[in-house]
Amino acid sequence: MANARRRVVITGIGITSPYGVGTAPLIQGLSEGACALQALDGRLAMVPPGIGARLDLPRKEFKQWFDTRVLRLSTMTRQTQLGCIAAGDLLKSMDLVPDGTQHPDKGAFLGSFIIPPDFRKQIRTARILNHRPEGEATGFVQDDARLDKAMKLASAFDFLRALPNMPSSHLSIQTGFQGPACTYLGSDASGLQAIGMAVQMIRSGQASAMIAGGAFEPFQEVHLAWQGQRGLWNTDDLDPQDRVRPYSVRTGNAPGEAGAVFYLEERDAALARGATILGEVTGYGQRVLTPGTGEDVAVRVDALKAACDGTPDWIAPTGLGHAELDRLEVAAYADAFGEDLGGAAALVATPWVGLSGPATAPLQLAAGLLAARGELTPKRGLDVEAAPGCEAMVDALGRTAATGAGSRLIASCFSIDGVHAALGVTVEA
Amino acid sequence: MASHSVRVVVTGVGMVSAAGRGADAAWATLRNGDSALSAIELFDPAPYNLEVAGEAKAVAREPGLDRAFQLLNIAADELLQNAGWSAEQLDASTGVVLGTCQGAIEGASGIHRDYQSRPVPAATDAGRKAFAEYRPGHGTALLAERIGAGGPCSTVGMVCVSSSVALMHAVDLIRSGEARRVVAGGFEAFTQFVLTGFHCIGALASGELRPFDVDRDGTVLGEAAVLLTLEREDDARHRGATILAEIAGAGIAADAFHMTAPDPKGGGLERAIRQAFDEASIGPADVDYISAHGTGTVFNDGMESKAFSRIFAELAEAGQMPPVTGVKSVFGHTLGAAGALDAVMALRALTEGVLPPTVAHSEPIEGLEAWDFATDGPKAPPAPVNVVLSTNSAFGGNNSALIIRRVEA
Repeated sequence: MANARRRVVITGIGITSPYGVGTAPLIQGLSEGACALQALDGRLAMVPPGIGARLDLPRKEFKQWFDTRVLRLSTMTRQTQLGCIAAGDLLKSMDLVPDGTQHPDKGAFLGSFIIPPDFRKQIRTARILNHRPEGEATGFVQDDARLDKAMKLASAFDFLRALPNMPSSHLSIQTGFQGPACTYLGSDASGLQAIGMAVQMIRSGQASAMIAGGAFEPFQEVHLAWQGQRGLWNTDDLDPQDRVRPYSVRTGNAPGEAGAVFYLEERDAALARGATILGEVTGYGQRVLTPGTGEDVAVRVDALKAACDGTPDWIAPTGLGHAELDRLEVAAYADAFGEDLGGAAALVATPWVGLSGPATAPLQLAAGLLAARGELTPKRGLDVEAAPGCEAMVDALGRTAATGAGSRLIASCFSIDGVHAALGVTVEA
Repeated sequence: MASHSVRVVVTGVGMVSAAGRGADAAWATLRNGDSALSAIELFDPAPYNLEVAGEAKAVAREPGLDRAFQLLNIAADELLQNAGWSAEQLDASTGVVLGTCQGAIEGASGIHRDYQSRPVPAATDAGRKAFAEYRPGHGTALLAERIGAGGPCSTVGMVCVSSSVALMHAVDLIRSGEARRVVAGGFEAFTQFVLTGFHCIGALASGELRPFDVDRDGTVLGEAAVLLTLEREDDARHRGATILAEIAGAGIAADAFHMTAPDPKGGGLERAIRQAFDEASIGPADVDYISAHGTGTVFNDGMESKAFSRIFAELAEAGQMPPVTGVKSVFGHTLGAAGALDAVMALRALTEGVLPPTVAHSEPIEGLEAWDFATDGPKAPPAPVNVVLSTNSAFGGNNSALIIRRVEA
């Protein structure tokens, strides 16, 4: 970012992952290489890939992380809930539990998606609104006469849950943060975008602190089918724990749910209040690929170089598991930092917890930061042959690197949608 | 916003709305105090006890393309005609930031309906196309691809403040140096899904949308796509572009109050406005007129008027309260496109030197009797319009404010 006037640091991490709530389960899970991917049941089992990583957390326990009398579960999608649990974990870990105080100088940015779970009621409504013509095996015709009945099935809550700003709005209410609030949609890079734009808010003086990250829940039939059609899932007849190995010959991924948020604030303010500074955000880059321009690698390199002015020690790449996109990502890293990726060590969480849309990159950023700080020793290596063009990344996944103060991390999300974002962080003592 | 040393100006506009294709058609309708609302034809409105909406009748249904993207394409047509950017300029230094409330929700609903008869969609070209539209950021990607923009690209999902926040982010991108020029705005189609939602929460008007009227009882939905080209002032002058106005300041603030009801005191909106004033280095006395959100709902207009009352208290007491206008009674509430639509109409008021009227307003909310809602038709303001304050608010308690300022040639 040009015109950077204020230094922005990360002073807290909040996590909701299939391993559980908080950084401790994430550290343990990734250290052991524990795979949270399991066979799905019910109708979800009928849609490829048939496996996924879910958080097993009863709703009655949500009140540990936010006030369910204020934030009604009925107005929240699962992804909004995951975001609020992560934010609650973040604030508890920083001893900043909301006490009703309003903070006009603080805000909340979240990357999310456009609410797949809400379509479930739409489907039920559509079954009534549209009926299958007599004698036909497939297809539906619209019957406006049934609209009245369909509308009785709809409720205000269905609509409210489906509003795209609900994730960040809930975060605002949960925290009392009355400054900038925004939900970014559009691609898996939205979580990193939210963090990058939050940094911009602090640098420009529009906020003194921000909670930012991503939250997502993919377990909806149509969403899984859509992503499957884009070639994202591994449908091999393998044990779930062996299915996902990005950058290897074993292509394809699996869905997971997660929420990962960070507390960002101005460095001087953090020092003044005696906060533990986990790392400083050193750069953010975002580029979009225009198809057909032949700049597939160049736009990725631009994003990487904008995020990291130098050579990283740690890399938290996309971990997509898509043969062509993995190859392009490795080519970009090699172009930006050298054929051996600057000797950096890489870390991906997707083999163990799957792809969680806009939450994927924030989750891997968190894991990468913990690794660069020496608080997480990730399982090394994928034990699978590298895909052609991805050898350097597979090597990096088997390496270790410097940890502690001064260690540099870069996290990237090069999405299948052509939106590419990268964020650089340097560890503080 | 970041550095004040970089002034960001608007050099082009493209739009389609209930008033037809183009900003000229929209401005002519608004200026004349006409209504662009018309009988609903996209689907049967009977169950909603409604008759009119702001449908863009100039846009016929096009099979195979979600209506939201149809609208976006038409706005892009006009924008590309008048932006005057060369192909060489449209590169990694050009960004796209769009806002939308529900994107291609109609197409997505269709996918879900189809899915009932074909649980695992076949990997056909048609299937792939339909699923591509399901992606919420598809509109932004479509536009970026069409104009060849390779810079920062994002989709803001903030309901009724989406496109005003998109404009704010666009200014930030230019001021921070991350982009040299940005296409920003918003798009929204009139859909049964959203209409049903507004019906369920009781936010629809029984008749007219009556901004700030004592008898207001709800809003009327509309549809639009509105795009603006933003760039550095020095770049615009260097290439001899017509500068329409400057986005001089912006503010964004959350109520952190309630999921549906706004802060009844308008605290969030007040903070957003004061932040925008600070950015633009102006005060209330510099505002020549206020383009209010004015949805015609009891809560929104009540909240807005309280925020305005506090900010402009001294001026009101001196009988110098700037006129307050609202355009939604003309175009309907266009949700994700509303902020950009309001901004474009404010631009035209600046360049034409005419104060647009507030249509369907007859008797103000109690306590606002002294305010000028420009109900007596279009008129030349007593002094040149140099600065417009444009405000928007959304469910979930999000508020935005933009300061749009005249730029001398």
